[in-house]
Amino acid sequence: MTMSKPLLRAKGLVQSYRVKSGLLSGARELHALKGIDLTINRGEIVGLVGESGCGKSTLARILLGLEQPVSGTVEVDGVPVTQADKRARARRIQPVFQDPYGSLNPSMIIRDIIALPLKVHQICPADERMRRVARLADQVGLPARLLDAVPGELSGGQRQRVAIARALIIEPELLICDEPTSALDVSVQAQILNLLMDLRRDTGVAMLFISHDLAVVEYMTDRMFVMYLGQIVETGPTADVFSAPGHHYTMALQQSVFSPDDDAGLPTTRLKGNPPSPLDPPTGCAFHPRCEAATGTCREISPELVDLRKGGLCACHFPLGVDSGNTPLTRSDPHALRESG
Amino acid sequence: MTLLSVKNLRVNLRTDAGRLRAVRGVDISVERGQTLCLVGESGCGKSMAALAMLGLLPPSAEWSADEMKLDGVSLLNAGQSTLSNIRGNRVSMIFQEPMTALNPTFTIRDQLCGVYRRHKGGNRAQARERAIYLLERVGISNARNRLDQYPHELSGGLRQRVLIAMALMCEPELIICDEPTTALDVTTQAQILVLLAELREELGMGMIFITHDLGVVSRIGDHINVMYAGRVVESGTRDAVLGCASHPYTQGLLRSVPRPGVNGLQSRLGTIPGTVPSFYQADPLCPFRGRCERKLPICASQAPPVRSGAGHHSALCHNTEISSIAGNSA
Repeated sequence: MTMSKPLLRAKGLVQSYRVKSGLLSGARELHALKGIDLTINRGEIVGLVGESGCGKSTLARILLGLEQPVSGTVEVDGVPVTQADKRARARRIQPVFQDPYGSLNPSMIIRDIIALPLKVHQICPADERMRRVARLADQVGLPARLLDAVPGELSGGQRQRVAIARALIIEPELLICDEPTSALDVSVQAQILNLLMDLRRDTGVAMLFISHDLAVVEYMTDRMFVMYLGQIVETGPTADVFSAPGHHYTMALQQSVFSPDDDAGLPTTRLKGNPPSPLDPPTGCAFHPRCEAATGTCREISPELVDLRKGGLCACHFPLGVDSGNTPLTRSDPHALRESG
Repeated sequence: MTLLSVKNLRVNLRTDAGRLRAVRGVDISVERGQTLCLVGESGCGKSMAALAMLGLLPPSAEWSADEMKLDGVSLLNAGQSTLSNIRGNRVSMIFQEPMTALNPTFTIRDQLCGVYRRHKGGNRAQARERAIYLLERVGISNARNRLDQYPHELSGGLRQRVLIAMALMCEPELIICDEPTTALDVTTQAQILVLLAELREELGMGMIFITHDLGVVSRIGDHINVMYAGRVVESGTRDAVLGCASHPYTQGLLRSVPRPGVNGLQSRLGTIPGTVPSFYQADPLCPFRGRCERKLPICASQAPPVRSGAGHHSALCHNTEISSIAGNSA
């Protein structure tokens, strides 16, 4: 294990919102994140999967500094970042959002959209800026003739290339990609995924890759986190999580993914019900109402993230592939294990 | 007898920029108890083709077809009253966005029972019983209480189930599903697909399933029409089209999908260079020739022939051979 500091480390992130559920009823607390620990190393692509409402996007927004957590810290290179050094954080962490229609200013020309971060961060003189824009446009496969167009004249795939170019122009160390290809057609998605892989190889930029599409996460990422109702329920090297999932939820997610090669007919085991409301979370393990293996223990005690295999953690009393008899897995030393991610 | 048979369907949209040719001569044939998937990327005309079959095209659209028969009876000259007796009754549709397809100002009961009483008559109690039966059948617990709820009180998955129940109120012979699971989570998507497949079996309906997701197609389709730029470029059984894809576009689509067990460090995804051609020009030549890796000189001068093989497998291409054997999959 290398002892170098992770590029980004989030510790104990908690976020909650006060929401009003009706005109007369009082405001209630919605727990969006319940203590998230996450690390991203240099040059690594880390996946984050989960159903809508599980807190993926909230986590992304906190890492980007777009909202402040109730508690918990975000460190970059071992140094805690605060709201005060917003600009410094933006210099190192850049977003690529899902909607390439909403994330580009419709009245600016592409050249200026891509150049804006250079201007904001005062990185180079104006004449150098346009050279950099042209070079990056070429790198992300954006035809030079489009640099003087406005976003409305571009296709969805071209807009996403613009968003990626804009994020990369100041050479950040980390890209937070929140569902970057969900709004795109499959053949365009393939182009964008290839592009991200090339950029990672050529520039060494690390990525947090958030997606609900497990096939894409398996293709793109080195390590992954599975979220359920504001908590990490499983994490580990992507290949391990796919070949031997520990959490029953991870397994259910995988069984919901269909590949064109399958001729297996319809899925046999499938998840019952919908994710519970974060306003009214279940007791014990948040997944127990939908879990086939749930017992009384699961209804009462919330499982901790514990070591499942080398480099993998899982929050389940009765993880898959582990013969634990009827005794729930006990907590070994999670603090030591967390360092191993 | 074939449940739905459409030949040479064309749909044009009048726009400020001229006539947009959305559907350019499409044949569709659905048997009872079978699912036909219309697969393609945005703008390929798959939704427009479905709307034309229901007489639901926008006012700016004009359409024509050589044949459009439901259960052997031609609908070509049917008036709006005939069509509205068919819609929601013998043929019903499930849309992608359950929030926009349900009326936010009416309760679930109003919307479900309204369809039933419009087409089947009957009294309120009968309509209510049918609604409760179907809500339970589509997996909604506590159906009786749900009847008085409004769409906004339900989650996306529940709304989609309500839409399915509504589409089934009059026991349709044909159900058209336009991307019914695209807006849903993967786990909910799996549940809805299983439900639709069970219901199709149980009720012996024909189904047209419109999607861009080849993984979904592999699980639910019996027959597949791959559409590109308003035309069906490949057609055949699921095993033939997915296992022995013959059209360069179908092959390109299949190569662009990430496969299980494959990481991007080991292999790149296949891509289709270029973009879809203009929709404003009438063009009898192959619509894919500008992006095709296998194009021949003849592609720029002559319309592509339909090459066909065993088991109704066919592709619209100069440079392909249909090699599939029925039932053979990769």
